[in-house]
Amino acid sequence: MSLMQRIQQYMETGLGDFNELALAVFSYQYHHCDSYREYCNQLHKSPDQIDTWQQIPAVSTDVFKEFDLCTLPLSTATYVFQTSGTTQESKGKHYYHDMTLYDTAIKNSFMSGIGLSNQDKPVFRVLTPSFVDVPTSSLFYMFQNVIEWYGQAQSQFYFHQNELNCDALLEDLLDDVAHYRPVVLLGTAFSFVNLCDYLKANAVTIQLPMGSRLLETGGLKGRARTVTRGELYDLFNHYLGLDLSFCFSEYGMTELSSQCYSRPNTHVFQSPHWMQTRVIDPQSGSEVAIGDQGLVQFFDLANYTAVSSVVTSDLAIRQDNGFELIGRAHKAVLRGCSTLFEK
Amino acid sequence: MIMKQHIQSLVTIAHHWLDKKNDLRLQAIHEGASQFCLSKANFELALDWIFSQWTDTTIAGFYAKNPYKHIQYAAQILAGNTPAIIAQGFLQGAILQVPQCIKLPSQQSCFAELLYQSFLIHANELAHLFEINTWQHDLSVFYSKLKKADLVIAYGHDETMTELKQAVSPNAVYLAHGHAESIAIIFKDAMNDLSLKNLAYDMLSYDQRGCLSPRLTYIEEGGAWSPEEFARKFAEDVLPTIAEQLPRGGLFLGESEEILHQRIVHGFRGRVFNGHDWTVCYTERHVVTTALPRFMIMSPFANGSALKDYLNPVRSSLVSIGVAGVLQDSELLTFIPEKTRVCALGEMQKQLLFL
Repeated sequence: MSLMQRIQQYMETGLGDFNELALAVFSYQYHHCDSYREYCNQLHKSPDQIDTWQQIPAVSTDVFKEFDLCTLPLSTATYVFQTSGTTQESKGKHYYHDMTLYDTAIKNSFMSGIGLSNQDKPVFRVLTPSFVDVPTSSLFYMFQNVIEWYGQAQSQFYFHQNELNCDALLEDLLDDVAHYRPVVLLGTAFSFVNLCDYLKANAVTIQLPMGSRLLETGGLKGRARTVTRGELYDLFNHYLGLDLSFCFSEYGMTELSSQCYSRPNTHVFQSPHWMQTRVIDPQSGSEVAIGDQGLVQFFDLANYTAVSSVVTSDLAIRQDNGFELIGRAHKAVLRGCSTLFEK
Repeated sequence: MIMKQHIQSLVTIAHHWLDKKNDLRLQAIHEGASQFCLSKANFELALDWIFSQWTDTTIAGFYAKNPYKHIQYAAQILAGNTPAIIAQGFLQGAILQVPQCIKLPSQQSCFAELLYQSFLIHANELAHLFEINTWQHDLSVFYSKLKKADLVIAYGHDETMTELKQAVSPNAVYLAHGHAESIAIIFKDAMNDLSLKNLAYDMLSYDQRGCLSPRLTYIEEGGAWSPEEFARKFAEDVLPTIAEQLPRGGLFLGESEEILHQRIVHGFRGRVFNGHDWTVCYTERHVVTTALPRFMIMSPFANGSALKDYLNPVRSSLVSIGVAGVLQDSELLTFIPEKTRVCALGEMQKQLLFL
């Protein structure tokens, strides 16, 4: 059985030893990704110098913006997912040659992440562009596939030509209400804010049919305003009639191949068993105590052909068996007469 | 006669601040160092460097060349990244000899208030010219004062400089000290232990929080040591010892996270050496610097022409260049702006910028 097959089996069944697989993945990545190997050598951390997955050198999400972290030739990649950002900013890239593990991650976490099973066939109403429209987005890839695998035929995307079509979405939601048809709304936090703004402007509140639910993802800081998670969930309750037990949150990023979901009735994220999470102290690199704050770091087995150990810029409080996001780490503030020296 | 008295008063103030038993100095070290995120040892060194330059000769020179003798009222907006800017504000305020408002940085006002106290004690006639405040909760009052000033001297971010300009009278002289950078150059004939030590002091003093600290060091190829070897010796043989004598102060919000990320990114770009409170990155890529404390980026250069190309994007903001060896490349000499101070390595922090 190949290493990829072993990882897939572990993802599907949980049978096997995470540490053993992680060390095998590290060895593969070390030997096939030149820039990562050079970095590890500098730290004196080669596969024969490491015993546990926690010791495996992590790369910063910033490294994905400057280096192509891939164990296979870039020219043969079938998908290249890119981080979002302005045109001036460099974007992180994640190359895929085979979507097996990515799809396995979705199939083994998405539906349970929103409190459903893979046998359910809900109607999805998606507040983002489709993957056809934006073929570089890992999030839209996931939503597109979820609809194809699990959605009813009337599931659809409502974001076209840089605009959320609130009129069409409202019309369809009212039809769902009239027919007692439970729906699953998928979108970024700010696409939901836009929807709620629209409902407010039109003095409309909806009580979605029983069994409906919602999944939001992405940051709470928009271009023009910031909302708190509490405010967001109040909007869901007020305008859509969904209380916390039917609202779920997803945490994912281009640099990873797996996603975390909030535990029911909480804002605590839990990663799937094939992706271990640590909340680390940035100064020591060691895991903080439960209740303490640090940066979120992952080891994602499904990141097989990139680098699995990734440290993010997201700050979180470590919780028992999970983490609660508290925002992005501030960029070091440029003070006084000393400012960034940019090319 | 009055000028002579003022010079004497200023020298007396400096003398007291250099006295290690002086109460104001002790209080500033105890309460003020952390406001700048500096360790007590580093803050003490800063005070020694600052006030050792307040000599009668230097101050008399400033009085003699003060180009703003005609002004009636001045305003100064001081930044809080290092104590040097605060001290400089008071010194230049004294030399201007006119009533003035001095806006202190709200988070770093302790040292300024103590320095003002020593003016009240030893130079009362000068202290009475100064109105010091942070005007943190009453900016409109400060802006009305700013409008009256016929000379405004300001330090801070470029954005702040632009914002202030709107509030300054169109007839006033506005001296804005915004974005500025300093670098170090090690020429091949200066590959020696002294250069390593001098560079360490220039890097570690003020924890690189001021614009006079070098953030980038360019090392010439072809010397006794390769540029990479110079970087290695610097990081492994010299920096740890001096860093122990001058420990880093605290960190501002977000800095520890950014240091972690930058160390990883630079590890991919080249080589990273680090202790618990310092980082040295050696890279052959031409990269951007960071605003992080005790974070030095070192790169090689082949000749003056190549170095000129590296520096070209930041030419206009180069405030200071510390040099080890002899700067004689004519191309480089003509390239460096006239306003940029070129000094010996190890002396980069030891300068008084006047007006």
